[in-house]
Amino acid sequence: MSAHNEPTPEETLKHFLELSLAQIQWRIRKHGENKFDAEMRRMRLLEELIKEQLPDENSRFATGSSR
Amino acid sequence: MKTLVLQLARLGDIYQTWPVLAALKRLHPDSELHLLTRAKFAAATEGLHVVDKHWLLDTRQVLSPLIDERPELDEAMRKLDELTEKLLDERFERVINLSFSPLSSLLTYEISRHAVEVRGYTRFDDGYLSIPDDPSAYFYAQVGVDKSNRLHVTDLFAHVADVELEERDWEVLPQHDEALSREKNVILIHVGASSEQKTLSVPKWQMVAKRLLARWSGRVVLIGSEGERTKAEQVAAISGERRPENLVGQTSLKELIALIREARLLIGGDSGPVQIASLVNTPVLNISLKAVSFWETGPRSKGSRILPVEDESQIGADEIVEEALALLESRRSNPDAVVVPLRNAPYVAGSRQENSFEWELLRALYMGAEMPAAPGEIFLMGLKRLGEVVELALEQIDAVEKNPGNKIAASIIEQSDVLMDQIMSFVPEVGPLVRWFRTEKIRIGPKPLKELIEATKDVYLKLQGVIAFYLTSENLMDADRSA
Repeated sequence: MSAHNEPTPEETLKHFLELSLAQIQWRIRKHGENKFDAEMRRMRLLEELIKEQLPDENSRFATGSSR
Repeated sequence: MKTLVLQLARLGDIYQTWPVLAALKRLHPDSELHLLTRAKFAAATEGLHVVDKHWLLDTRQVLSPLIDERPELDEAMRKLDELTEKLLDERFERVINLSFSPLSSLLTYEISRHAVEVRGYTRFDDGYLSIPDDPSAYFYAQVGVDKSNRLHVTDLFAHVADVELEERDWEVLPQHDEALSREKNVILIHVGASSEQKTLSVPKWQMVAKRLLARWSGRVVLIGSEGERTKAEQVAAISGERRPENLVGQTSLKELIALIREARLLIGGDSGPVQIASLVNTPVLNISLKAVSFWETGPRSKGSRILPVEDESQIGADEIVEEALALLESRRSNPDAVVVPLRNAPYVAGSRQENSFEWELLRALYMGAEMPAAPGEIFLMGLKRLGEVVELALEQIDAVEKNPGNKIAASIIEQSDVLMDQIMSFVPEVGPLVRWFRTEKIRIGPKPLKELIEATKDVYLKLQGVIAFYLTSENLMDADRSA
């Protein structure tokens, strides 16, 4: 957090990234790994968009190996 | 066929995509060609006339509701849907993803529902990574600084897009004018890069500038972006009668392109201006450090040279300046320099890169070349161990086939991957083979268990075939002789 305890946009995004990951993990536990519905897809896309805003997460070689 | 190309990487990759877009337009002149890039790098498409519509992925706009005082996840999701729906509404028949990131694969999946053809990373219906075409599988398995690939990124992009590049595809921008550049007599130096590991330090650049000014009577000009201003100021502050002119942070991309086109030579590390030089065909002297693979992102302009070094201590400023002047006078100087004979042709390796067993193995596995001779006994030993692991895994796959609930067999199959990692760490020469095998396994999509088992078995059998080739008695005898 910054000196004034005001989160920077990056810090806020990091926080949401953690939240979205937690939500995805919860959904996977609930539905099983093979359940990948539209909402989960959108969440994953949002998660990756957030990562893209954070430094060095989306270079060409950050290959999409997460299965 | 209405086509969308996704290029969500940075400046350098966007410029390296230009010839591919030109080739797509040349081969399909009547088809609409759209391009999606990140809004941050929109300027890198200025002057790209072959594209009919340019889409921007404005991440900040989608994410802005999340950084408001009262963060709104639903609003962010709505904005995200707006973007994907707009792209989906275009009903692209062909979607070509030239970025190799998780984001791009998810986005490709979302917007290619109507597409007949999808190339590049996407997703299977169960959400797992899908690699539909062989060139993208090659990229996944074999491309990167720690690998043995020697294919240039632009050529790889062309393979993914399924086009063959011609010299004219590089000529999207007005070309370097040799006569004009001789008259102007300018050598450009780009002192920056996207990371400091990709270029020389301030003291080294100072030495290069000083030595160059002592031997070159023309102008020496520093170029670069706003963020590189401090470094450039430090480089420019050298003692002596002459100093380099400093234009860093003072040029738009358009002006930078014009400067590069009119220069005699550009000296730099791995960076966007080097890729721009390829498009305008201005020769480059590229100092390539360990953090990059010049094979993949080096200059393509005719007559360019690359000096590959592990770190900057391995090369003196005098050597760099001597090679720059040798390049301009068309004489050979450093035998380790890699030469770019023509823009649309492979590099000519320097004396240190001539033999690479791993690269020859890649050519055999992917490009139909002959299998190279085994490099020695350790490689064959590694293959023997690999063969044992494959045999063990195949036995366990049979066990799963007979009893799909067999958890022990499934866990042994998983363990075989760990064993392969260990073999690869002891015998790096087997790396290309193991990475190829792994990627082929990833490419197996969701299917009924029986088909899944068959497809998995098939990949293991292919690996076994390559191992068997090397472990024939003749090869073993060859290895004995050379050991």
